Amino acid sequence: MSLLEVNDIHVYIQSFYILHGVSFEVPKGEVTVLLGRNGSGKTTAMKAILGLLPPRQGSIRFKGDEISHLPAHKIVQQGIGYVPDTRRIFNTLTVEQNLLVAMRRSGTKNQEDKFEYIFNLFPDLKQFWKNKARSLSGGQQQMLAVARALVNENDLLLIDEPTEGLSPLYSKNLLRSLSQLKETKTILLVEQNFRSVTALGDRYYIFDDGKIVASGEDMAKLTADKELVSRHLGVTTT
Amino acid sequence: MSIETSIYQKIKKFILTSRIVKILTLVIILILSIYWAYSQIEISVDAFTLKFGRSIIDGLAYSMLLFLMVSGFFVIFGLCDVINFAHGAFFMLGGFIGYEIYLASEIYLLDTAFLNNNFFVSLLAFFIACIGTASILAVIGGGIEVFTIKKYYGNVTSQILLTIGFMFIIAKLAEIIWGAPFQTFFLDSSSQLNYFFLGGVINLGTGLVFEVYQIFLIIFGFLFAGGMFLVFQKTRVGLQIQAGIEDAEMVEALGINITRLFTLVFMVGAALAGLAGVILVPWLGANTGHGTTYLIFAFVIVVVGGAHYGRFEGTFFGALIVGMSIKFCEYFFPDISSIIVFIIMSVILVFKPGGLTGEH
Repeated sequence: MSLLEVNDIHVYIQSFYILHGVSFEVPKGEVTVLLGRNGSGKTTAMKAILGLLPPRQGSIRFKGDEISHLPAHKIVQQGIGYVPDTRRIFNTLTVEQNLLVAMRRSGTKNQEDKFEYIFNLFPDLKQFWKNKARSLSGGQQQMLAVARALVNENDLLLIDEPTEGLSPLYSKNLLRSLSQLKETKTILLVEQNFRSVTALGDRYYIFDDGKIVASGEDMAKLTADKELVSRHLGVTTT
Repeated sequence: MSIETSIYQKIKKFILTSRIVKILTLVIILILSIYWAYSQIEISVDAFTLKFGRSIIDGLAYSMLLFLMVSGFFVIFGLCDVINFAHGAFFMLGGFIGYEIYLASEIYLLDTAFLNNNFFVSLLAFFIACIGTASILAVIGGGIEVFTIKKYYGNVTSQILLTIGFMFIIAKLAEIIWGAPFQTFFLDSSSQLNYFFLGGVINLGTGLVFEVYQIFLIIFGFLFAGGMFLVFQKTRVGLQIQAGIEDAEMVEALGINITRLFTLVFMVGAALAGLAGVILVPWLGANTGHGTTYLIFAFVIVVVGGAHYGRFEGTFFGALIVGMSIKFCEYFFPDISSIIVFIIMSVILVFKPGGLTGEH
């Protein structure tokens, strides 16, 4: 049984019909990647899982339980961490306060352990611990957004376009940190740039126009179809 | 870019962004306005100093009262994105409820006769009035949020119409019970004790006389601001509220029940309005017209302090600017005392559209 099973969900944003019966699975201990161009419905799928855009039809099962009818905070409390595409860190709070807001379990020992774990993964955050989040660079803000999802014992991490807007160096560092996470966490990753996640993913779903148009476990095999790559991922290969 | 242009740009940037330049400008404006005030009125230096001293104390006390009232309006507006037009009515109602609870507690405490000291009877009655009023207003505010406003989050027009409706309903009910706004209810004239524990004055000699209650208001205001600052910076719920002011959806996506937080904030906001209403009574009395008057001040202070993504400190300084300028003008330029806050608000909106701490 997969950790997360999304089955035939139909999602609307106000009156706009965005996801037309999407189904996919996220097996435990794997990195599942949703690929596709801008506006193909990847982020909407993530928000549907989180309950921020509840599906009008279909089912979402997490650890075997139906969660599509639950409010967002109840879904997250079941063990889901979320890293949104535009970071959405709290600018007026310090790095430490951003993490404290996210922490669901109180207790000094738990706090210290978690912070230590985060410092090992992102040493930059320790340096800017008492600084306002708005003063961090784009890459550091992204690290903070990821760290915020790691302060709780989450079974599943939803990470939306982590490398968007980052310099190549920061992207590389971040992807390296995500590979470290891969060893202990189940991850659902949304990405536009399929090349950056080739080494990271265990299975891939390609979205276009609110539907899944292709899926598979082997990226090389998937991208061998040049027409698929050019039509659905917007990349011209030679 | 030439070297001259680069130096010019650096100086320009320094002048526009440096905190020292800002503080210096403020100090210069203050000195000039005091000098101008002095040059406009033909009184001696001693008389001027006396008047100035009184305006400062009056202004500080008034600012703290406004701050207490507006802090509730700010958290409701900041987190829930609801412009609560009924906030002034909560404040006015708080004044009357506090007034009634005070008088009732006084009678009860006198009857029980276990306290035969006027000071303690008055102190306890005032304490009961504060706690009782804040609790009643918290229930009223929470009830209004749960049963009506909750359905209209995101629908600004409905929220405005709804809160305006509550403003009129509460004001009318208060008028039916306590009469039209031309009558102000004061504690000392209705009290059986004819004594208030913070009554009296402090005489510093040479005519410099301050009411004890004003000094209490100033100390209470600063302590309250410090307490609120600690709550916002050090407690989990305070951090959640601050984070929610910035991005409520993201707070929900972190596993925090934002709906419950909204209700809690509404209850706290209404309770603070009620508490401010009670605290106003021993100084300026209870009046059914207070709702509208103070609602306007709440708007001005929140705009001056920084409405959108603004910080709590902004509200504190906004209240200081509004309260001090009103009282300063009442003493020196009474003709413009009723419009000074709008002049200040216009100037701030032109030069800093986001207010002191907010974003444009």
